[in-house]
Parts: sequence; C-alpha cells; structure tokens
Amino acid sequence: MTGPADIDLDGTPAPLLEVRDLRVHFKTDYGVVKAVDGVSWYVNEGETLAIVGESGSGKSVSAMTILGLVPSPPATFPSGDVFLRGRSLLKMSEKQQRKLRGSQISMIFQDPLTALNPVFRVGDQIAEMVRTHQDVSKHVAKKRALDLLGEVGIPNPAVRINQYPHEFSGGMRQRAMIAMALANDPNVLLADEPTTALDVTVQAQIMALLEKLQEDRNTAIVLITHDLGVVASYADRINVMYAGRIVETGTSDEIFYSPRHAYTFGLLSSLPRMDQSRQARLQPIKGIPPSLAKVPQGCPFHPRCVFATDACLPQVPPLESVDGTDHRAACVHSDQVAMAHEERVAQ
Amino acid sequence: MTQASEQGETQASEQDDAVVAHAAEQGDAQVAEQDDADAAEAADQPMLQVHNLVKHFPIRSGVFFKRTIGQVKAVDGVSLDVFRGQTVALVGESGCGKSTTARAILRLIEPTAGRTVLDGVDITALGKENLRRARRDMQIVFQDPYASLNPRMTIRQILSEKYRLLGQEVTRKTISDLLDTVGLAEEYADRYPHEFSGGQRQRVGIARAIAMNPKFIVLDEPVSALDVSIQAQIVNLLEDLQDELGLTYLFIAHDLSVVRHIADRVAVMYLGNVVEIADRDDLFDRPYHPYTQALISAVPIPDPKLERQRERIVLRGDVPNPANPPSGCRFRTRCWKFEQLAESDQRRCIEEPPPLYDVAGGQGHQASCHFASLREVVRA
Repeated sequence: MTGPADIDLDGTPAPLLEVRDLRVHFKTDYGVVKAVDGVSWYVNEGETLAIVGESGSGKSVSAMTILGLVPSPPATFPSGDVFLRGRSLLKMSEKQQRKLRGSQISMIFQDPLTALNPVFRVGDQIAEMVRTHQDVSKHVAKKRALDLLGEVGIPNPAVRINQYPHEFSGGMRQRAMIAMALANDPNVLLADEPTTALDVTVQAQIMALLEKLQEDRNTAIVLITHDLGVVASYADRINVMYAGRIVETGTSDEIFYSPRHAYTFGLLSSLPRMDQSRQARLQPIKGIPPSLAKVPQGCPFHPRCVFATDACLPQVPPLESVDGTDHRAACVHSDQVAMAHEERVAQ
Repeated sequence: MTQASEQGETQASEQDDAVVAHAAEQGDAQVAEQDDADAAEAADQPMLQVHNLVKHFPIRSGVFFKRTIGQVKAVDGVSLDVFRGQTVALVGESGCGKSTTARAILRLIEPTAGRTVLDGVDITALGKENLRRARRDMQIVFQDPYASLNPRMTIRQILSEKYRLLGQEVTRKTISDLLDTVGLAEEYADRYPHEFSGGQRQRVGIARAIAMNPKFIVLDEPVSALDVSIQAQIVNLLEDLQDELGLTYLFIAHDLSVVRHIADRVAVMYLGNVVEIADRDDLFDRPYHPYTQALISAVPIPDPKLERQRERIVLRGDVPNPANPPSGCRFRTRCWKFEQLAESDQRRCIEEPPPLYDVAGGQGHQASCHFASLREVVRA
C-alpha cells in the first residue's frame, strides 16, 4: 500500500510530518459540525510548530486525527491525508499505522491525571509503551523506564517507578507522561496544551525540559495551545486557527510583529501585557466564537471583525501569501490589518 | 467612558444610564457621589482590613474516634488592607492559600484566628443573623461560571433569589436593569444557564454579585476559565463597574498579565503566607523576594524578541506539603538564592522565619526575605 508513488519526486525532501487538506466532520442532531475544515500544515525536524486557537477552533482535533484517536463514526473524514516523511499514513494498513503511533509519532495530553491509568504503576505504564513497540524483555523495558524517568528530571526514579499516578504531583505526572511519549524515540511529538493545567513555575520547568529534549534528539514538536505567551517563547512557526480553519500562518516574528488577519490582530490587541504598565483599556474582540455547526457564511470571523465589509461575505477567503513569502493569511482586508497594526505599535 | 458593550451581546449606549438607574433604585447615595470629601476619607481608612488571618484545616484519622493528627496550614497569618475603590490582587500558585484567604475573609469558611474589618464592621465578630445581613456588602464571583449557577433555575430566579434572601423587593425592572448593567439583554432573563456561553455566564455571576450594591467583591479567578478574546470583555466590564459603582475588589488570580492590568496593589502568597506586597508597578518592575522574581520570570510574554532575551528563573521541584511546611523560610527548599548563600546565612533561612521587611525606597513595599534584593525580571 505504501508504494514509492507517495514520495515527493520533485527533488525537494518531504517534510517530516505533513497534513494536507484535512477535514474532520461530526454528524450531530444540530447539523454537521465541521471541527476541521480543510487544514494543511507541515513540520520539520527540530522545529516547533504552534497551533493556536480558542476552544472549539479545531486545534486539538487535527492532532488527534493523526494519531487515529478520533472515532469514526461519529466522525467522517471527507478529505485529507497525513504524510510521514512523504509516506501516506492513511493509506497504510491499520497494523502499520499502529506501529508508527507511539513510536515515530507520540502525543502528550493536557491532563496527565486522565491520560495515565490510575490502577497501574507509573513504571509499568512506561515499560508497556516500550514493549509495545520493541521486542525486549520485561526487565529491559523496566530498566528503560527507569532511565526515562531520570531523563525527564524526576528525582528518585528508583522509588517513583513503583508508585501510582495519584502519588505524583501535577508537574511530576506531566513529566511521567513525557517519559512515556519519549519511550520509543519519536520523531514527532504532538503536545496538546501540555502546560495548561500547571502552575507557571512548573510550566517553565516542563517547557525547558521539552526544549532540551528537542535539542538532544532533533524532535519535531507540534505545540497546540491557546496561550500566546507560550507560543511567543517556544514556537518557530505558528498556525492561527479559527472555526476549523487556519486563518494565518507564518514565523513567530511574522505573526506577532506583522499580523495580516483581522483575527490575529484582534487577539494580539486584546491581550493584557505583563511587561507594560497599565494600558488605558483592553481592546476585546466583540461577540463570541461561532458554533462549528453554524459557521457564518464567507469569512467565518466577519461578524466579530472590525474590518468586515460586504467583500467578506461571498466566499471563504483563501490563504494567500503575503509578499510572496511563506507568511499567508486568509483575510480580504489584510492590508488594512497591517496598517492598523502599525498604528497600534506607533502608539 | 464605559464601553463594556463592545461585546455584541450588549446594548452599549444604554449602559451608563442603566448603571445609574440600578444604583439609584438601591437608594444608595454613596455610590454615585464621589466628591473630594469621599476621596479624603478613602485615603485614611481602608475599606477592608485583614489582621493576621489564620485558617488551619485539621487532618483527622481513625474510624470511630476521629483524632486530629495534624494541621494543614492553608493560611498562616495574612494581613492586608484594601482601600476604597481599589483593587488588590492576591497571586500565587495552586495551594498557596489565596482562595482560602478570600473565603475566610467572607466567612464562607470560618477562620481559625484573625480579624476582618469591612468598612468599620468587625466581620469576624458577627453572629449568624448579623453576618447574613452583612453579606449584602460583601460578595464573591467564582471562577467557574458553569458550576456556580444552578442549572435548574432561570437567570431571573437566580438573580431574584438574592433579593428574597436579603428581604428586598424585586420588580420586573430590577432584573432587566441589572442585566443591562452587565451587558446582557433583558430577554436573557428567562433562560437557563446552559443556554449561555462561558463569558455570558460570567456576566450573570457578576450581576448576582453586584445585585445588592455591595461595597466589596472578591473576584476568585473570574477570567481564568474564559477564552482569550472573551477575557478582555469581562476585565473591561469589571473595571467599568468599579468606576461606576465605586466597588472595592480583592482579585484572586494566577495569571500575572491580567493582574498587572487590573490591580492597584499586589500581594504574592506562598504556602499560606504573604511573601511580598507592593503597588502594582513596584512589584512587577522592582520585585525583591526571590519567589516573586521566579514567578514573574516564568510568565511568558507574547513578544518573541523580548522572550529570546529574557532570562527565566527555573525553580526546582514542587510546592511542599502545607501540612508539613519547611522550617524557617518556607520558600527555602526551592529558593534559587538560598543555593548561593554562605552556610551561616543559610542557617538563618532554616531557623528564622523572615518577617515582612520594608523594602528600601518603596512605598508600602514589603518582602519577607532575610536577603531580599532587587532583580529585574520582566525585561532582560
């Protein structure tokens, strides 16, 4: 099934992980919920790609789809493909896919307490992960679990390995989950809100750990988060999602210093900043995010947008390149957004 | 001056009128008037005084005969003053005792020791009936608007209950004015909480808190559960209400960016103690306590270039168990400065709990560290 036809033959090396035109829809009583609606992105070795969006923007669903964690039914996948080093994941047999999940691609979740099994020892859960993908003895797997716990900075791993998840603090649990995700030296780590449930000082510890592991192993990290501060400090490139679509994509500097989509601009303007003495007043985005079952016609952001005109209505604006670069935005009024941003910076 | 109504869910132009109408209906004169005399009075008498507040939770053991085998020292001697019309923020990580402090102030849980005085009334000394009456002056907005509204009551019932409990008349206009004040349309009154978004529910929670024209409101993480674009709407609403109704806030938060925006004064808590307290800009630009410095340095700022230059103080380990806190300075087990001290100095940290020292040159700036010194952490 995984013939050479899937490999890019035009000479440029395929990205490590690529998602093309992914659509994930759910049939519900209230209509079809288009959780992900035509999303494409890629990530390279050693790179951190952030996917930013508010709750219900579809940011987690695209990552979970890659790992086959979205059950179908109720989900349907009208289009899309996922490529790992140019090989289509979705065209592989279920058995082959399972082999890749957890070894080449692994995931860490927001809430380690629900992601870890409460009735098994932490060490056994990590060892199980090792033995699922590697043909090693129980003893060797346990030894590997011990090394991993030490590597993610859990003090006293020889004691901790025999404890249960409830005996771990929140930060420790997240470390244990990272140990589990790293058990088979993955190339890609999908991190879904990895620090949202943690205090800031522990968040700093966990992000420092992920950065170090990335440096040592050249892992690609897909960081899914709503926290623009975390994104600014750790991401190389950013996808901004709204209502199931990517509305802007670019490098970290492009997104923060020259936003071209009205939503990105609105988000950045609404943030209180810890490094600035009191701003006169925050500039919120009006209204609330749309229900994914009833996404507004045309640009889905237009009912909340200060730049909106009739030009936003006829169709969903395509992601278009800004000045021929990889910075792309799906906004009819991207020039006005750029000007508004410059005015705001000048103030 | 107020535009809490950029929210789309609201009717902007009527906002100011509604606030006035609402205030007038309560017949509360002090609200609208803010003349110089008031300002002068505000300067010398705090709205809220908290003296040495303590809350210990007993740890019990045994099946039939419960014995107390220890104490969780959730709040261990907190003192605070909050001036009229001001916002004091209580910040710290989970388990530091900030929410317990707020609840003990309101006597939602009974404090173990200490004294709370609200506008001259000693709250801690009140009997049951008087406490109930005093509650009209002190209210709370909870973090989770999903859990704090009864799902089986309409918004009108939820809001009317407040008046009924405190023996006041409710007219049709009362509720619609109240909803208008928080930026919700009147037709929402007969809906149930599940029909609202998170931001709208938080508006209902705020409406409930301001219904009786309180003097003082505890805001317990009021925007933490909300999406970024909605947070700013609620923060603006809270600021407008403070201006219009002359409210005094105690703002509990872990998000320091919001705190920098909304607070006038900030108290940082660690393991049941206030470790540093200062005016807002003083605290962020000139922090003296090693914990405050680590906390501020750990908060990422949405500015990639700044982030590349900033130095992050990464603390070791987790917050210790509050049932068995370290001797002397409670922060010493995670303190980056402790590691750099000579052994004789370290002994001082281990043996002698640091009091809140006045910081040189700061106005009302105190830090509880024997070796406190300035370290700038917001910028590089």
